Amino acid sequence: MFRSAKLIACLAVAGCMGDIEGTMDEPGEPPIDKSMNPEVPPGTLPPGTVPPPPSCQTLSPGPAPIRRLTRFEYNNTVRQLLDDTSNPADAFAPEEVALGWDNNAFALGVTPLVAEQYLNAAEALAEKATADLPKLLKCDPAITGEAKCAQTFIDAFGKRAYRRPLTTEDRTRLTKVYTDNRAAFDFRTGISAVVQTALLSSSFFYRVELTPAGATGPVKLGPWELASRLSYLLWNSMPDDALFAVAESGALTTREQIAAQAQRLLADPKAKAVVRRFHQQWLGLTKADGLEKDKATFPTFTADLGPLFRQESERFIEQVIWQGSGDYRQLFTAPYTFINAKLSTFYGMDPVTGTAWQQVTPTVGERSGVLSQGSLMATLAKNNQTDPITRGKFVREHFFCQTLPDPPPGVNVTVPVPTPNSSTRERFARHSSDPACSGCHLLLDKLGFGFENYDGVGKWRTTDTGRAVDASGEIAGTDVEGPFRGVRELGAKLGGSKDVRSCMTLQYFRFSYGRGETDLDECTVKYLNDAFAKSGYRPRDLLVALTQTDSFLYRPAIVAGGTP
Amino acid sequence: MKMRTLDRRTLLKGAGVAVGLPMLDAMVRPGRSEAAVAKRFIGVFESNGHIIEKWTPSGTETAFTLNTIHQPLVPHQKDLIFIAGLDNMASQSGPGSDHIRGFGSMLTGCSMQSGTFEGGGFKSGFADGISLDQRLAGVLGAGTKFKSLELGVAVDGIGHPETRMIFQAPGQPVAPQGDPIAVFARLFGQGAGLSQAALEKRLKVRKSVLDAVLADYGSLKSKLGSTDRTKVDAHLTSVREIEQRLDIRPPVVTAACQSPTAPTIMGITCKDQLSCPSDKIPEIGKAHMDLLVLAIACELTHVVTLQWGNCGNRYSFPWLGIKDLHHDLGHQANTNPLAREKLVKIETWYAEQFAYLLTKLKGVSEGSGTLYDNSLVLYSNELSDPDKHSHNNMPYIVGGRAGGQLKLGRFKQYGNVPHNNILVSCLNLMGVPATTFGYPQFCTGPLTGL
Repeated sequence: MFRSAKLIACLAVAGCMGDIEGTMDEPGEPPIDKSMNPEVPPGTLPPGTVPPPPSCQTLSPGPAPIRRLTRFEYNNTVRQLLDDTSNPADAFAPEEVALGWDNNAFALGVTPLVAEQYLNAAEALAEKATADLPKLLKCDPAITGEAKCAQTFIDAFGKRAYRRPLTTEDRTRLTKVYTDNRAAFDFRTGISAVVQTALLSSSFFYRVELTPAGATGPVKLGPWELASRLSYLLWNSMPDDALFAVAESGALTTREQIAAQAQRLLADPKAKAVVRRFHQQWLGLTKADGLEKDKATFPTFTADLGPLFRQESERFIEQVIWQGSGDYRQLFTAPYTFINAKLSTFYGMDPVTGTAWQQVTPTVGERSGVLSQGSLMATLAKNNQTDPITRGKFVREHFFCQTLPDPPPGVNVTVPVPTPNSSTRERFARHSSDPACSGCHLLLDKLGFGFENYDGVGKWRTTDTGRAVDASGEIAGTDVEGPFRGVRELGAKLGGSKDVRSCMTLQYFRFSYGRGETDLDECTVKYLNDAFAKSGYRPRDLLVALTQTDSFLYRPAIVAGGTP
Repeated sequence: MKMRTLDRRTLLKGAGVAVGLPMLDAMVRPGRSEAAVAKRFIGVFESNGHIIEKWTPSGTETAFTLNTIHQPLVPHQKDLIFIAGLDNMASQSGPGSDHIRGFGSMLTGCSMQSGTFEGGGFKSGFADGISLDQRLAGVLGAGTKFKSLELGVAVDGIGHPETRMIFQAPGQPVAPQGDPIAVFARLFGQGAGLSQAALEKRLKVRKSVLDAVLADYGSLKSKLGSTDRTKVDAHLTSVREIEQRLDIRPPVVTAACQSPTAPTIMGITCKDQLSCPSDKIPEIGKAHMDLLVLAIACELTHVVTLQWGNCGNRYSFPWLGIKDLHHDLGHQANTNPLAREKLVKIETWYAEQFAYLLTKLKGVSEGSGTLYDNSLVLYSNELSDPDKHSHNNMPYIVGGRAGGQLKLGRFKQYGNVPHNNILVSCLNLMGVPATTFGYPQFCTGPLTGL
């Protein structure tokens, strides 16, 4: 049943090259004409302006699957809804991650364990919330009467929890829960049961968007649905009172009104947390938290450095995205970073004083945005040496949205053991000379060698086992082909790449819409690419543009009980 | 530009089986006698295949000598059946990497669905069928507090075809719990410290709340298209299960249950592979095995699985002096003697853990025998040869007396028999009269002569 090793080797080469060339196309699906994204000169609009809406001939919204709250969204939502800062969702089972994102609507499901965890959380939240009834109710049952006060609470709280006015059915159901538990126990228990029911209901836990009866073509979303789409896109949380108010008043209908609200939400710190979350997932920053290294090889590395690597990158990203020009390309090119005293000592940079984090432009070594930060360099490494393969693969997958296969079975993938007499580059050389491996590895290692100035814990080095580091690399199979030397030249290439820019748009699309792109999103993606370019590649503006597309404002009509 | 249709087909496929689930209770053999079937199922997973030459026993079916890897199992040899010569045929078609296909099909007998999860350079969805343990849970879980219990040692927290082997329905994975402290709290902590009156009150409020929640989901379900409906239906089923189990008070069957003790693990949580320092893995694994035995001894559940890491597992074994990642060693099994030696060492360590579990099961008395007598244990892997990534000649170990149905102490060799058959045999041993499981084209009925 086994294929011969030789055949496998050939397949590997062909497979890898084929994959790179056709990286964006799934077999069996028609390739998309790349000319649909003509280059738009960047910066043709003043920052903060979103270009006019897409001019597609026919409305074409992509699929709109029902979206479950992620743990992050659950925590944020109960913080706003109940003023509860306990982050109860931290105890929930983790999300299924598809396409690199933990909020993919198709991938997230509910199992008995998860349902049990929601129940426990709802009980605990309700108990805490009803401990201070006057704060929760905003009416006094002793004055208005219990029944009236409860009804007022059900309507007001229900509307915020469900993020829309209650239907008659909702109200009847919540009222019965109150009445039954009031009768069996007491007023507080009745209110607590209402809170529990609301927190466990489908309208709290999912973002439900129903198709009006009789609709056939694309359906324009209503103001309450749009309010939730806006707040969950930009805050990963529920709408605030102001957003509810415009939804209620009918002033959340036009693209301009929606863009204005998007700009308002973007100015709130909650939006910063969402952008931080985007980068944590895109760059795998949280992997740094649990970093382990071989003590003999890296004696100065200690476990507390991992979280500092992550914080360094988070502070840096916040600076790039929210301060100054806000051009994402600086993530690859900026000469500065953020360090504290412990990190400066570890990196061997000019010492900083005090315990606070500081923005510095290091004089030692080449710095080029995240490409030279410990969060990437130390996680994209073995525990006792660097790893050019993983580094090259990361660049291709995360920055170019390419997919690369694992080594085929039967091929010796022995990781070369570090010796005192060989540089990493020499040890990995076989990959590129053996035809069984070189098909893929020329694409990976040659790119990864460009990072050789950063050792396995992310420290700058000029020698590797006594030899001068050779950080020359090459990047094939992209629109910025050709040789480069070191992270600074690589950063310049990434910053100048149109493929990387399109990949960025896709990553924001997937993160923001909670799904992968489909053929129906063609017009939406084209508009986003244009808008991103016109803004001068500012993610802040891309986020607003994401609220202006067909796929955001509309959904395909769904026949209840029908397909899909 | 990457434009692809997401795994909608995947979810559509899920609808049929999810709807079929409630039928299972009716399929239990009527009037079964307690002695004739196994009461409990325990599944154990180890990753990255085996050095088959060092795994396969020598000798005949009833007179055989265990190989190097199984030396720790010598004390249990007369209580186990070592099985060779089954082919995982379901893994040999469909999308996904070799590890993923072998893993997803291991307990489901089905291939992977198409989808957008990337692993090993291939894209796939989750497995296309319900897993054996979940099918059994549908039958055996009716009277227990927990329909099933899924435990994982340093399993990656991220839900992905590389990290999930349990499926409640096609494409619907079940995550294992990684933190023994949280598992203990879930099993025994509910209502701890509450008075009887407070417990009664909580139960009553819960019932009223869950009734309203069930009505809410039922009403929503009817308004959705089929993709979303499948999803909401799984949620609804999960809530209903909780509701149905509210009244169940576990019977105290052993002394251990009167005052169960929490795992004594200091300063680590090991929720997942990321948060689990690799040198803590033996400690976490032992805690899970203790909990597993405790949970079934206390009749909290009848179906338990233990998952050592992900498929293509990447943790290292510092306590054995092995710093390499398991998966990387697997790729060198046939070319690097040193790597091969390390793999044998790793597999021997896993056999030692299995021996610990067996000893514990035999240590809890039940009636005139032990828990082991009324259990069925299945030990499996996603690969056979780790280097070739082979899915043929898959090694299995079956244990437990299954209520006296199994003749133990054998080495059973098959040839070109689909592995789905062993899944059917497990169903039969648990009293489910199935003749096929998983993809029917890869199943010819129960194993003969098991």
